[in-house]
Amino acid sequence: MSELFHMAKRGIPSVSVCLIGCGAVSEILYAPALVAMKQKGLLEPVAVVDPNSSRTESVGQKLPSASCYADIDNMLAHVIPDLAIIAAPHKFHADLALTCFRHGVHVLCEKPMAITKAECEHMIDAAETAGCLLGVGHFRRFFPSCELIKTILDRGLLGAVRSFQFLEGETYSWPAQSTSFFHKSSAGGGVLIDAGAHTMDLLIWWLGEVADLDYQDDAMGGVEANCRMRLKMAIGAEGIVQLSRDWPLPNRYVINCDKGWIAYVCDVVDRIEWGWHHADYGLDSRIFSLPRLGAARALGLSQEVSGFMDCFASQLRNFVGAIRGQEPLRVPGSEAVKSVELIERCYLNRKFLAMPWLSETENEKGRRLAIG
Amino acid sequence: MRLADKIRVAVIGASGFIGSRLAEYLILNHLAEVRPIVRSFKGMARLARFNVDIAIGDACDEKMLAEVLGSAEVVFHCVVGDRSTIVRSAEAVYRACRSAKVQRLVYLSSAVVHGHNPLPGTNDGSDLIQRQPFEYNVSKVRAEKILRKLRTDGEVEVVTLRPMIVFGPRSAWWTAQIATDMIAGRAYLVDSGNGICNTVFVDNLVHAMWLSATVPEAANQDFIITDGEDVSWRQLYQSVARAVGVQLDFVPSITRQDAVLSIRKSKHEALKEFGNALKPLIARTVWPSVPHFLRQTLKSSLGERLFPITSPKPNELVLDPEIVSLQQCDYRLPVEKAKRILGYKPEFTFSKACVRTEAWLRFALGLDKV
Repeated sequence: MSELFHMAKRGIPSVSVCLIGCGAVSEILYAPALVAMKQKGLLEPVAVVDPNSSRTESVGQKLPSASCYADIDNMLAHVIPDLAIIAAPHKFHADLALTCFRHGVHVLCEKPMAITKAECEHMIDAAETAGCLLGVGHFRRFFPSCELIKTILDRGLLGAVRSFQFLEGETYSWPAQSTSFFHKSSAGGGVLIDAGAHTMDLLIWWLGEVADLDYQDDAMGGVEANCRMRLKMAIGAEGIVQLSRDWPLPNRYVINCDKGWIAYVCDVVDRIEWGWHHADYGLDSRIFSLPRLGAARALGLSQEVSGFMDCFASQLRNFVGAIRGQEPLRVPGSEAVKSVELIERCYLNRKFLAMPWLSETENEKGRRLAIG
Repeated sequence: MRLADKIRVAVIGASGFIGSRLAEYLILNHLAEVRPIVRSFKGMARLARFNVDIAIGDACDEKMLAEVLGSAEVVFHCVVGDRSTIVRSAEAVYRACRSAKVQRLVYLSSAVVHGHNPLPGTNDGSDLIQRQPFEYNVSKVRAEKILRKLRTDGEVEVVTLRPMIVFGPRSAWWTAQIATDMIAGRAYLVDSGNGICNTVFVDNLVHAMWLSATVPEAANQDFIITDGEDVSWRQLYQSVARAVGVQLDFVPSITRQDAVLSIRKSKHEALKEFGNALKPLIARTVWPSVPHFLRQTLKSSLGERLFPITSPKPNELVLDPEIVSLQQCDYRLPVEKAKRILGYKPEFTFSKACVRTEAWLRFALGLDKV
């Protein structure tokens, strides 16, 4: 990161970027991150794109250096940025990325990378052919908490993983700016492909391939608000994932290993919880970062880790570093396709979620609606 | 009122607890063509499970509502909100119904219009109690009065339903909140929970709402809706305790006298006094009463957004004046009028309702294993 800043100071031009799709994620997360990156001379927002002019206006106000466009073709006729951030409805991800690659534009695509594995593979091939970078916005991988869990598991500090339980859910509160999240045609599904894209990414990143799964959800002609699955991983561990956009769940991912357990609390970036089995106490551990060089390192001085927003911005810093050839892309398309493949597999094997709080008649009707 | 197979209905406030269950009930039982109306896009998540046309509409915006009501014959008003929303939406929805030529409006009020502890003999025709200490209750009284006045124009039939304690799947107040309070050591009972809890299981309520939409004689009538059983607060809490694995005997009880005092005192004082008084009791009882496996589960498997990870802090026990007041009810509200005119017959007994509620609660808290 410091090298990037030195480059900015040396007058190396910042990376021009466009933001395609001006929904809530662009307004709440990307726009502030881009403002911060612009101030540091790393990125220069040049365009915002959305067919809804009130949305481009709203996001454009936060990024005054950017021009507003109704569609990508119109934008490309006027400006070809170095990098495109694609934050449009899921169904447009693949086509938009392909258009960008045809113009030699690198792409950071919001999760899910696309709706199907085939689309993802097409995107990966196109990026390679064009010599462009393709990254995906699984920014939880930039959380110190998630990174530390990955390290602990990879190094076997708690022994082999035996089981896990990932529970994540809220009454839906994301300030969606359109209906795109709620139609299969635009979103590809419900909570699983939306918030669950992050869950599936972490699951695979931490625990590896899924050998077998049993997936259920409550979609009844629409998209699921609740889903749960039992998974068997290739490493032998078995576990449960339950997701909801209907109701608050405990929002914890607990992984049980031979010697103890470790937990990620959703969206908490700077601490993890862990402990030993059958113990009366557990640990709530704050994470600090250790400088890599210099006297601070020698003295073992620690410093606070980044906050949530800074972690979000880290993926952009990583992308700029990758464009400049200084570091590898942390979440390339070849990594992100794994979660899309798993989600697709879930949907292909979906069963109707039995809801014993409904009548038999209602469950039967729901099952029929689910089948279509 | 037409009794066709598939009448066209709109549910305003369809993303909430009762509105969403009503929409689900009507769709899954193939009773009506349903148009759910929600305030914003984010309210669509639960309803989007169905392939149904969800409209966006502000319950306080008469013009906007009239546009989205379309050709609805019946409108259900299930809007929740603050005092202003309760009062303003009653008028806006009625006027929108009139503009859209809706035949009937089913208004979901509350039995709190008769107070938390209604006087003996209170029935559907009793005067509404205007002077009450709780804003919600007063707002519901005002909303009902507005609708009574508006309906005199004879343009839209209004049916008013007054449930008291609506519980069941997705009930935040009378199911999930009790569960989380119990797990966190914040739950309490007044007078050991012996007060009368005028429950209505949400499925019984939505059935009554459907009858209110379709029974011709219901026009411009008001109905108290309950499960029609003698249910105590202890029984309601017992059901929740069973679902989450907590022993109800260790949930602290306060006397009615102390409860009354707590309402009279300032919130701060009440908190301090009762918190301190209950501190040793809770420290000895509530947390240790949680089974070990559940304690471990709570510590290591449940999240702090829903549950605290550490033991409850006794001095944080908060007495909610509304809950304290409701738990002192001595009167079982009658449901005879609804039975007589609507043909209402609660399909679910309290015990059967509890089985379903407990199943949902275990699922919703992540305690249910696949």
